[in-house]
Amino acid sequence: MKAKETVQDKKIPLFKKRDFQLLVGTVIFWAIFYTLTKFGMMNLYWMHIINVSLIYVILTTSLNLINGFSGQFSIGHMGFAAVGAYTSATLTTIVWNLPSHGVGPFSLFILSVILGGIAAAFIGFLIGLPTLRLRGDYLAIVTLAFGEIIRVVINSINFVGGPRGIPGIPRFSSFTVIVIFTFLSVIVLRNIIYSSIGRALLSIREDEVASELVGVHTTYYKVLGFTVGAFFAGIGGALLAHLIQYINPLQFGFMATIYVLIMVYIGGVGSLSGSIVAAIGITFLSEGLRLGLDKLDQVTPFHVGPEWRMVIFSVLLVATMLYKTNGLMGDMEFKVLIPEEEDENAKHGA
Amino acid sequence: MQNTVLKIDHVTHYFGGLRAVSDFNMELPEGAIWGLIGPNGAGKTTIFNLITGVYIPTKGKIYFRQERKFKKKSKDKNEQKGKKDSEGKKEQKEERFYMEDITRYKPHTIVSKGIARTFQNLRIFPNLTVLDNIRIAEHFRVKYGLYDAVMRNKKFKEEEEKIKEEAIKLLKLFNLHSRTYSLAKGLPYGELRRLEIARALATHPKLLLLDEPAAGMNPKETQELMDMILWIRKEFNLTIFLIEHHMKFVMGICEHIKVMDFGETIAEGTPQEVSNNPRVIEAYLGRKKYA
Amino acid sequence: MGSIFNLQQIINGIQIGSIYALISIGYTLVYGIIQLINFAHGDFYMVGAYAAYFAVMFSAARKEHPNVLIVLLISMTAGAIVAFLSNRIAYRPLRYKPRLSALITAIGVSMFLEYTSSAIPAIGPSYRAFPQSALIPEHTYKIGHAILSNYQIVNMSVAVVLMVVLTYIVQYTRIGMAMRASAQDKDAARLMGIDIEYIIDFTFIIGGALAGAAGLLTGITYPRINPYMGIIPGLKAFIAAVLGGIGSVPGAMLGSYILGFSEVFGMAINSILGEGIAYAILILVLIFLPQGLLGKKTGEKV
Repeated sequence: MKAKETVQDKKIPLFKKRDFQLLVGTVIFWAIFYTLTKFGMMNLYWMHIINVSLIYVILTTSLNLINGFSGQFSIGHMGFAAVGAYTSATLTTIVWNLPSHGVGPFSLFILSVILGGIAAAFIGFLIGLPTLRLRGDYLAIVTLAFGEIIRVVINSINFVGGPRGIPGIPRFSSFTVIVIFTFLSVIVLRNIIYSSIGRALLSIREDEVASELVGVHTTYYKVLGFTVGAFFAGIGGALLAHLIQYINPLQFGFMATIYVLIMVYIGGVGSLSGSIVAAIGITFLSEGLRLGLDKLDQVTPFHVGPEWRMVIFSVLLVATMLYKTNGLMGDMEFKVLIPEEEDENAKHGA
Repeated sequence: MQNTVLKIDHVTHYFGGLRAVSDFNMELPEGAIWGLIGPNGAGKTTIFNLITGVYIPTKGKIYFRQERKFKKKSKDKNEQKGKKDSEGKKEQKEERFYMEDITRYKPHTIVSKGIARTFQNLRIFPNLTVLDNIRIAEHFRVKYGLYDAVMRNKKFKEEEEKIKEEAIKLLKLFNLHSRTYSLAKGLPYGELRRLEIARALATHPKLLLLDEPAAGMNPKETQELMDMILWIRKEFNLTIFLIEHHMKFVMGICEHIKVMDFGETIAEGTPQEVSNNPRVIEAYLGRKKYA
Repeated sequence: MGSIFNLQQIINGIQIGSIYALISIGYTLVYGIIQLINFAHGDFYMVGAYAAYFAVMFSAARKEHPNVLIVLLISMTAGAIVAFLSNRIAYRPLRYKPRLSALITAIGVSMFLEYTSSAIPAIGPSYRAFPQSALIPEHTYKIGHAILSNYQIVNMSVAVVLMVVLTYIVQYTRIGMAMRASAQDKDAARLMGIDIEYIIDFTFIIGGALAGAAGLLTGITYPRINPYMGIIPGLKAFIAAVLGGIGSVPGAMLGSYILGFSEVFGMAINSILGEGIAYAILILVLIFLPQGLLGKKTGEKV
């Protein structure tokens, strides 16, 4: 009886308390940094890093949906980001040749970002359909090969600049735009995870055979998860293109994917909160290391190359795997990211 | 006259060159509890894997009784169409029910047709809660899609509440209610066994396949399990087909027993008949003595 | 088309195939025993190339003429040591953890080897010319229209000799038998008194040594080396192993030569898209023949 009452109670709020907290938190975060920049109190360089880190939040959480929640292993995530980036940048810069101001161009830009996501999702679907029947480590190789194929294909298309890339992309990805897209991406991913679809994905991760034998159409859900992940990677790529204003095929190579992969696994396999923290933390750590290594290079008599940064990250990755296999947050979530009705069922840390 | 729920028609299965099952036939009547026994490696679990679509038989067909839906079904259109044409005449006789060829269906389709199973070595989802284990099994009956989930709209909420309520009801029946939010991997063995059966029932099966349900149980637990199986049959209106090594268990609960050895059916009949059959004693009980 | 399928292309195909074969054998051996795609395997090859580079430079600095066999031995030893250490430090502790964590660790090890090499000032991130003429003076022979250099002859013959030795070890020695047994069933092999960890160490050492040898051979024939040179050949060698049937040594060799030929002919037909032919092969194989040409079909136990 008690169970029934609580179910009834939870029907009431239309605008749920926790969603509200999340929204308010995001708005406050936005307002602080927006005002700081407006009044010139915020270093533009660090503002740029914040923007980049938020895009990494999109890329990391969406890769976590594939690798963490559904237990697959994709290492071609930046390939999807490349599809998104190239689709939207081709539209805004080459096809429409948009100016960087005005309401009309801006709405076309938003459209191009969505189309970038859809194009990435479509490619993800095409790749996922034949390969997701295979075991996890084969998927890794196929997605890796896919990244290379993307590079080969883009290199051979003159229309999008070939190996030279697309320069002069209008800078539409403002802080506000990025915050909104990041917020929406996280909410959509959370809603998928805490639904029957998310549970189906989790069951595939836990035991694929058992999952199929309790009625989960495992192939369908694997492809669905993969496609959704690719969609958000495409969105992230499109936003990135309009932030850094220049793209070329090399930016989306294997190492770029590895960078996102490190964020997923250090943050926590199967934890959105972990991905968010790791995406922001590692972007800043990386920047910090870069500056630190530069300083070190100046003060020491021998050469200290920027490669040491990646050496540190690789050690960090191996150490995480050896000593904390599931990442720092494991599969814990911050309470704000758990829908209220799933409170008891979900594992939360803070 | 009792209706046949599951019909296995001359099924033979090879693994590479090895014949794991040869010419297996069975017509399982509705509401019955049948047992499948035989020494290790006789091919019993292979039969379950063939029924549930994990393997596709090298030869032979498997049919499962379906209630005719007068609306057109969208799933597996092609497979069904082909079958309907050839089975057309038989279907005419039985008005509401027909035997559907499920031989080449995928496991999840077979589950949705109404066959659920448990496993010889428990296969629960260890890192998920008990509730989620059940809700996953209810999953294919959920009527909302990706859009509803993303929007978390009214339809989504109603469906979620419905399946949660149903899951909790099921957990109460199996006395697992206090464990609803525990991780499955923390449960003791006996509760895991119950959870696995509850999870199978959450798919709303008409036929339940139990693969060595009494494995690892002491005599008292085994007795409780026997009572539970009888109760499940009544409560959920099920047909049950089970594999078991425990002779007392099989003899005590099954109305009809099939005995396999080296992939062949060597005997079948009531527990009485089977236990007096010299071939069975030789192949099964005899061997056990020396083991 | 007649000009595409000529002797020169066949020679080139055999040569590339030989290098792929030496790398992919290590992939296949390791995968056969611990089901790990060792992403760092391509980097063992890079280490072998650099070891050879430094060996040759060292003797050149001392005005000595380096012995090819000794240099070969040095690159093989370097590859073997790095392979052994990565197994001991990174993979072994993860033996009973989920398979994917070992895979991620392998990516970490690979990154570590690449970036550490390029961060060390003595190696550096940029390309270096491999001093192949200090090792063996070049001779070329003309066969019809095709040109065959003694580098190519060394390359192919060393590869063939190494593959014969490897096949002998795997097929006819006690340790080879233990390797095959462990690949079939680790637990049964353990119960038969086989020290699995010892076998895994040995497998990594053999794989690393062959990759190291491939590094030297590449250095001789394509004399440009850099710390990232192992990524693409590593990936392609893995594709060759998958094509041949992962876990099967003859499969890896066969797959490598098929891949080598397809690439050479593909590049001759269209130089941009030819680069992608390996990946196209991979995707086709995985869809239509996941167990590979000589591999065994495996089903999951339910």
